[in-house]
Amino acid sequence: MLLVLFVSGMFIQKIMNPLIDRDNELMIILGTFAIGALLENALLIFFGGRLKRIPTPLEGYVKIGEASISYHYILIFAVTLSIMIAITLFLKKTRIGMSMRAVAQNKDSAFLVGIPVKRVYMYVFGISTLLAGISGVFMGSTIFITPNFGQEALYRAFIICVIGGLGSIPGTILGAYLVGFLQSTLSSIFTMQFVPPILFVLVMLILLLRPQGLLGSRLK
Amino acid sequence: MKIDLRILVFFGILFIIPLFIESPFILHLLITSFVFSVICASWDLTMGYLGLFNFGHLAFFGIGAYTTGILTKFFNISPWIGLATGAVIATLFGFILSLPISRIGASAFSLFSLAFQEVLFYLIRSNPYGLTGGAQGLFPVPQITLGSIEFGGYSKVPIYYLILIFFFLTIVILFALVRSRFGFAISALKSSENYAISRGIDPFYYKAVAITSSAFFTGLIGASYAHFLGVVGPEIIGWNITILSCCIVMFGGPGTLFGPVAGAFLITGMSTYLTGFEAYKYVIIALVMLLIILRFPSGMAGAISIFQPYFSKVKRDLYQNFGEKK
Repeated sequence: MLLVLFVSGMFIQKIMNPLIDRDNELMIILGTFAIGALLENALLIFFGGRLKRIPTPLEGYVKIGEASISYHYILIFAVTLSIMIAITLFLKKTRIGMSMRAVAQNKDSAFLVGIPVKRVYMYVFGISTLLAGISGVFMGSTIFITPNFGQEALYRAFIICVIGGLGSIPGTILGAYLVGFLQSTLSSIFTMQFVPPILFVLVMLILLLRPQGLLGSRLK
Repeated sequence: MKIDLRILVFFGILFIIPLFIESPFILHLLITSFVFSVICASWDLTMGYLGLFNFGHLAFFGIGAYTTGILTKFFNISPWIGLATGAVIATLFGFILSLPISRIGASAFSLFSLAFQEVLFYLIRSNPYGLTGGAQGLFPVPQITLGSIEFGGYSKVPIYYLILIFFFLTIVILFALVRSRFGFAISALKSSENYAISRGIDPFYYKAVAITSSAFFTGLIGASYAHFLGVVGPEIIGWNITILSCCIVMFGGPGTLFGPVAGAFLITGMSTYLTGFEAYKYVIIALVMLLIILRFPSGMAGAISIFQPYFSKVKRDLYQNFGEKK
């Protein structure tokens, strides 16, 4: 399954290739939206719109005092933590990881020093698809899934990325914890409905006062 | 002010259509196309001409619709005043949204405007003070009346003409705008901002004016859309409509004004006539869109311009035959 995700990510990049060549960000955004709509509705056709549930790989839970934590959540925590560490190491230490960062900094100079920019793009798409797929599997076994349950995740990812800072993995982790914490505290203070607007107001403030996010590098 | 002959012909045809077709279905379809045309053409002012990606454009539509909806439903204010107030409030919000533009960059602005729209969406859905009707929407929004004419109800002809007039005015004014000094200024800001600034173009002023004026037209058409449907739901500023309108602009060809209008007619028609195919409809639309953006980077207008040499040859022959000079 992991391989399938990786290859499909590379395949999406292949489709998008002419757009990336043209260097038009709007068109790339639009193209990915089109592919997203395509896949979402293909899922709807094949699997129907009903709520589904993936069986959890681990049953049972441990009791720590009053709280009970299921083994499944512990597994998710362990896997995400190891993936985060692996990705950070990958970006910092390996050749491909370093060339990815080089391309992110300046595509043209990266090309000049001999980095295969196209292949790097393909790896990036493949890896990000793979990671999104893994998180989808874990989310699918904690909540009910529908063909468009990715949209909710997209919102949250957007908020987290802006607050934490784009292009910074520690920032993303910090942002994710902050947003999760805020979400549960705010929903106990106000009603549940007012949480998303407050979070988005926070996003607006962050963009105004600190456009690079809490820990991010500078945004163009 | 010079109005292009092609625009007059196009609107002339639209003006006489209700004389021949009285089917409410077709008229409804056309009205929906007009509404999307106005949204997308005014979005094109900021996206295509200014090159600034304002993801919160549909928020102005929602502000216009909800302002007039709340005013007419709860405060019994005349729908005409509701329309005007909706447009004014949307313009005001457009100005407020354009304020941070002097401070943050283009990418940050598009994220900022997206967040702005989401704040609005969730606020409307959470139904503050019972004003917005929450997720079920605000209804009934009273219909517009003028003397004994009712803009609404079974016959769609009066509302057709009302929205067509708004559509016509929007297009004429937008064309005048982009062909004036202002239009050249924002195009210059798009092509090379630093050079434009060095030539004395104030970036903040022109960007703010572009965003504010696009907000005005969208707010006005949003308000009339609320009266046309008689109901406003939060999904009009939801993700789906935003993406659809953005795709229409891209699909039609940004920076052409007429491209988005053509795209609006095509996509609205397509999505209506493909309704029978259920989920396949979106697959087909997405495929067509993908094909267009991959093959024709500047949208349908770009696709047409490939054939432009043939057209101009035909035109030249015609002019020669009739002895006119261009």
